[in-house]
Amino acid sequence: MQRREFLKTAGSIAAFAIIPRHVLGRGFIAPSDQLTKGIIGTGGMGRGHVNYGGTRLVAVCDVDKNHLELGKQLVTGKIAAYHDFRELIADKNVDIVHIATPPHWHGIMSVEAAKAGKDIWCEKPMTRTIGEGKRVMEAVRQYGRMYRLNTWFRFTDNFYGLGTLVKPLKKLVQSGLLGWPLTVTISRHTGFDWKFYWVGKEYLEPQAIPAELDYNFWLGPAPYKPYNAHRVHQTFRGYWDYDGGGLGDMGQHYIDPVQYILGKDYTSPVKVEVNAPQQHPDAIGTWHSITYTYDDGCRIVLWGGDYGNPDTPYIAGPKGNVYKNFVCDIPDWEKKLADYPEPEPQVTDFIESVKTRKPFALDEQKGFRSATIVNMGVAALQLNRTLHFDPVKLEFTGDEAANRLLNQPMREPWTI
Amino acid sequence: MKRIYLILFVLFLSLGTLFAQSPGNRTAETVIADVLAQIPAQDKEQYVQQQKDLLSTGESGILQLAKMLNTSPESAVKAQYALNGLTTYTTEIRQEDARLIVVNAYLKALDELSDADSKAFIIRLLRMIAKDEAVSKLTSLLNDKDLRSPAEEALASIKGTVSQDAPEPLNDPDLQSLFSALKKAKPKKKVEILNKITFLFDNPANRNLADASCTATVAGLSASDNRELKTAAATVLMQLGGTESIAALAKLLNSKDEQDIQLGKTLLLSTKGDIASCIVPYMQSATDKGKIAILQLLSARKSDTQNKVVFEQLNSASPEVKAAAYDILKDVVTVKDLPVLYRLLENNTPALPVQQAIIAALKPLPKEERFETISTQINRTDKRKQSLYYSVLAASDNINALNYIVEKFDTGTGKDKDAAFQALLEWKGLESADRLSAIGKKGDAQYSEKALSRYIQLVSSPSLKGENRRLFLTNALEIAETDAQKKEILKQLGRTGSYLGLLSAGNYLDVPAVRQEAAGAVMDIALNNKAFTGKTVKTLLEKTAKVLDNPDAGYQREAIRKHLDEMPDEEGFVSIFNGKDLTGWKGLVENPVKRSKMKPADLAKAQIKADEQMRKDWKVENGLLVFDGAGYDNICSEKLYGDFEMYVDWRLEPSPDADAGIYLRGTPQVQIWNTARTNVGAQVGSGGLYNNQSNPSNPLKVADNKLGEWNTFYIKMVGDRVTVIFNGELVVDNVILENYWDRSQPVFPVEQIELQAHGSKVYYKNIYMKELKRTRPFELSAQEKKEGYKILFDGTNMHEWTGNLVDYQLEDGCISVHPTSSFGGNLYTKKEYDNFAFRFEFQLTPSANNGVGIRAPMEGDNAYNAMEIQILDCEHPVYKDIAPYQHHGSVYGVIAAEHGAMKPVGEWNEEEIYANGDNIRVTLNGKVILEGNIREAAKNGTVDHQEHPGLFNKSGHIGFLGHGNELKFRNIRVKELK
Repeated sequence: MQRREFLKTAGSIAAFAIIPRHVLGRGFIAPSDQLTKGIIGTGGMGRGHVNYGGTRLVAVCDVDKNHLELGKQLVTGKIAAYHDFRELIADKNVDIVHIATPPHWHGIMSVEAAKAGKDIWCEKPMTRTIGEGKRVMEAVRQYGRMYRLNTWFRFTDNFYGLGTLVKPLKKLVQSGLLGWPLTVTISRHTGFDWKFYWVGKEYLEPQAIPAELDYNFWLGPAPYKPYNAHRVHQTFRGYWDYDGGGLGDMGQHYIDPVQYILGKDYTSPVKVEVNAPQQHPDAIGTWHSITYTYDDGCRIVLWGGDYGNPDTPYIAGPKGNVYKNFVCDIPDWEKKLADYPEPEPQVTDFIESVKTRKPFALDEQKGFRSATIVNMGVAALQLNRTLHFDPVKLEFTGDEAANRLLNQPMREPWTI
Repeated sequence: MKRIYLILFVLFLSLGTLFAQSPGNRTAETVIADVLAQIPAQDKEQYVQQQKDLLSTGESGILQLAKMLNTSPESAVKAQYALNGLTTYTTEIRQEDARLIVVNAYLKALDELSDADSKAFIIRLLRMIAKDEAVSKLTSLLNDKDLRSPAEEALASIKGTVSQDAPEPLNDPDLQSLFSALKKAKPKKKVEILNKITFLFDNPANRNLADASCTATVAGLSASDNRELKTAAATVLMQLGGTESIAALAKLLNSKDEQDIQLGKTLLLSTKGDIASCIVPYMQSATDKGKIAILQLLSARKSDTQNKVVFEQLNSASPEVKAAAYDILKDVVTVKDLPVLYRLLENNTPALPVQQAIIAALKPLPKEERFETISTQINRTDKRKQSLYYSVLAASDNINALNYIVEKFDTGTGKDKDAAFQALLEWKGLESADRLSAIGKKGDAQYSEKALSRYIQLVSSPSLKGENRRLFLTNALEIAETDAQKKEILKQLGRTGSYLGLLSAGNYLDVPAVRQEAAGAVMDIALNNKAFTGKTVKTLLEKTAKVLDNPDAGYQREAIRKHLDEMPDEEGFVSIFNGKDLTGWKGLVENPVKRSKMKPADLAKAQIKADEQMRKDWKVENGLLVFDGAGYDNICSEKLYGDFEMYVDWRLEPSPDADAGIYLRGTPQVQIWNTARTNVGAQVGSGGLYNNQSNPSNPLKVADNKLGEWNTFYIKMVGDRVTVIFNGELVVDNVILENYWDRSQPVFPVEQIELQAHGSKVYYKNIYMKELKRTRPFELSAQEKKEGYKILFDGTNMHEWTGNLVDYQLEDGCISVHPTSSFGGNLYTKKEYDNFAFRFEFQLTPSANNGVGIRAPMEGDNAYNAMEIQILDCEHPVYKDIAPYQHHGSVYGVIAAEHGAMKPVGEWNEEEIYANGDNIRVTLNGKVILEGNIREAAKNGTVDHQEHPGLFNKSGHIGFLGHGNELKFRNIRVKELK
């Protein structure tokens, strides 16, 4: 049996079989003891993420010839270069498909990769709508794939203004010492920046499409709008058709760990409220606050710019608060906390995940749930109103327009 | 403030057909223009109001709006906002007739619009709002190659067919069946099933489905010899938690196999329940590795009830186990263990872990009790061993402990003194800073260097503001003896961003041993603060460029050169105290009002006497300006200042009544006092504008350093407004300083700076002034003077005005409107006027809207309860459809003004409003644009068909009526008509 076929069957038939790499025996993992990957989207993001350990880059894809050229230079030696991502996904030499395109492509590409039996590494935000996220989750599970959404604060790195790993925060919250329900505030005051420079321009003069760019393919499922350089590449985050501004860019980084800390990985908030200036239908603007409420009364509050109270805690509970830099106001909390268990270990190496078929710490299920929070906010901003959400049916309650944003149609020939 | 749109408007959606004619008989054009001028809405309330207004224009109004999509880019963007808002709002209110009006308008727009982009825009709106009624029209567009795609998308949304090929969601297998399968399965399959269970258990809700028999099954498997199986089973046990799971996991610690011990330890750390009592029994039988794992687990859970075994292991024969036991001692001790810990400490065991354990055991006690407990123990202890406790004292965080340590240092000798010194270094807070600096200064080489290093470390903490760090660091710089310390201080100074820090570092550019660090500091501060300009900065930067010597020096010199080239040519800050004598300073004669009335000869005579008195009380000592007298004789700058920025460092000699202050333009004062003086309210802190009555007088926060330490002010005064930054904290934010000497007048435009004498000793240094280009006050022409005009605003103060003094700011000699809310609030004259000629200049921004209220009360909507002379950029395209009586210069809603006299946006316009009884005349840039009689005009009802109950007010305030837009006013004057 060839190595790649082995990995595929291991994945598709017995999704949760544990095959540690040493039992594979000699001859299976060759020639480089590495899995292979292909990157779709070799703009700044894709090129920046080449060197994750344990994989060897064998294919790149981009609809911009210049980017593709830069992508080919990422390795010395042979590399397959594609214009059409479907060819990269079909490439038998590729084990892992790494999706580093703008978010309006993430859903389609993830589903196609899953169908083709590839494991998937996808940049955040997971998808640009809740409907596409749900579809990705279903496809990944249906085809027994391993999926990693690429943000990492739930298991490593100092978590922005908290100046600590998320683990001790999780331990403190799950101990119940702070009481329940909790309110988590993500704002400049608690050490987070919503990057309001990702705003679009309301008027874009049509420009000539540069020769190197296949603009129609770049747009793909997004509505056709005349080309202007500001829509693509470095500045696409400012337009609803492709992303969600600062909320889209940073939302999963900031909110995914909160889902984990609050133990909400298997549900979603039931309400989202916005306080924001009216939004333009194409160009994303700024906002003052976005507030999410779960059915048990826990809340996540986002404050944009300098909005809100500078003295607010990061986590506020009826029995105690946690402030920026992990300052807790419960007397002797460290001692009290010792009676409680550490957060459970997670699979934090995607290569291990791929080889053992144990789901990654931030898999399609958890990624979908945190992306859903971002996309609930995006919908509420676009509609400028409070929305109610059903975390089981995964749709908005009693709001048809909101549900039309939930499942955005795609431009032909694209479907998901 | 024009009010084109209605304040109160009840939307009767059922009367949809009436919408063609909007309420109050205003035209759809008017309503739309007003909404567009306000777009985008800044908050929900405004948004809802705008959408209601737009809806009120009915199908024809909405169609009109849609047709703006293919006009100029600016109008098109506004129309996009409006249409999108209208669409989302209509989907929110869920009223079918409103929805149909909007959809019908959009369907018509598809016929009437000519360009594909606008049509596509409308189709995308239809995607959000339309139902079956749009299907045939959208279907017909499928043949249009430009519109096919948006039409398809809209149809998909309308038909709800967007996610047609979504598969059936997968169901998770039943947990109970997995557990029963587990019993029968072969080992390899068992592993697979257990991993599946782990995956399902990741959702805590699923864990409740497992019962005791499940736990027993898995616990049995965790004893398997198959490593994979053991690992998978143990992981499930960790997820289940509880006594039985813990007992099974604890057994792993008793294994001879290191992998088992590691697995058991890792999983027990994350297991819920009491693990200590399950693992302690294995302490005897476990291998050394197992013992260490048990100790570490006890440490993680801080198991003080099980600490007996830890104390036993302190005597372990294995050095590794013994070290581990000492290592974790601090995590498992309580106050009850103190006697044992004392014995350990005094009996030649490793001191550090035991000291840490004592510190931990004391931690639950209040700070005073910690101190008392340890000081009592010290007194009971053999003198030679007392010093073992000093470190523990330092950690008690009690000020008595600090004093105790300091006393031991001062009076002790040998080992005892050294231990006290070590403890002083370990003290965590800034409280030890003055003590460390004193030791540093004394120059006892054994201690001074370390003391100063610790001092530098403490005062470099980023929790202190940069300017405050600068104060402490420059103090350290004066004391430091070694080059290493000077280098460190200079490096830290470079991070303060302080102008005075830049000057201090600049003094070391000539000291070869530390000049690189000095140069780095000068460069870092100067290049990051474009506001630091002037000759001194230039000279220092040029010197810096010369001395820089490092691999990057070439780039750095280039950056400095670029910075210097861009630096504006201005004087910058100038020192007004030379540190040697009182040159530039004089005594205080009376107050500015009285002085201005004195004859020159009398003033000169009084000045001589005042100078004599001043010299008795004010001295220059060690480069400091010192007041040490009993009187109230302020020292005054010889030079007079208008608009300025100022730095001054000050220090109060500790005394209960300590008090001082800085007078700005001869006017009291930026307050300085001992914050302990709560009887006079000093707890609010220094830095406030103490003598203000109607404007804020307290500082925004307390920012004082400990009494007796140095403090620093940055003060900026422009016109009559003052900003104070105190030790790096903003404490006064652009507040009007009132004229204490004559409250009917604004503060003096130009006067001296005074340092207040208030009977207590005070020190000053680093007094720097930067004069700002002053607005030349507006003056009346000879003609206007003769006619009896009075100035209401000359560009230097807003003394004649009241109302919203926050949105209406004094800026570059203008009143500049920076609205913080959608309607920028109103600014009124303090005085009331009946008949008058009111002259002013104004400068618009695109589509700006404001107005002059006349004979107005300071409340309500002055367009109706008084009279409003419109101010509007009415040439702007969004206003193309407004009514004539809404144009600039109109008596709003009553008499229309003529067009064509306004200068282009951005230029200044000159206007006169002449109001004499019922006769109103408005002259813009020399052209009379309105002349009429309001009684005549309103005879048969006003043209806007509105009630204007205040039209015939006899008198009232003159006001600027905000409408949420930026614009500027200047040179305002008024003549009352007799």
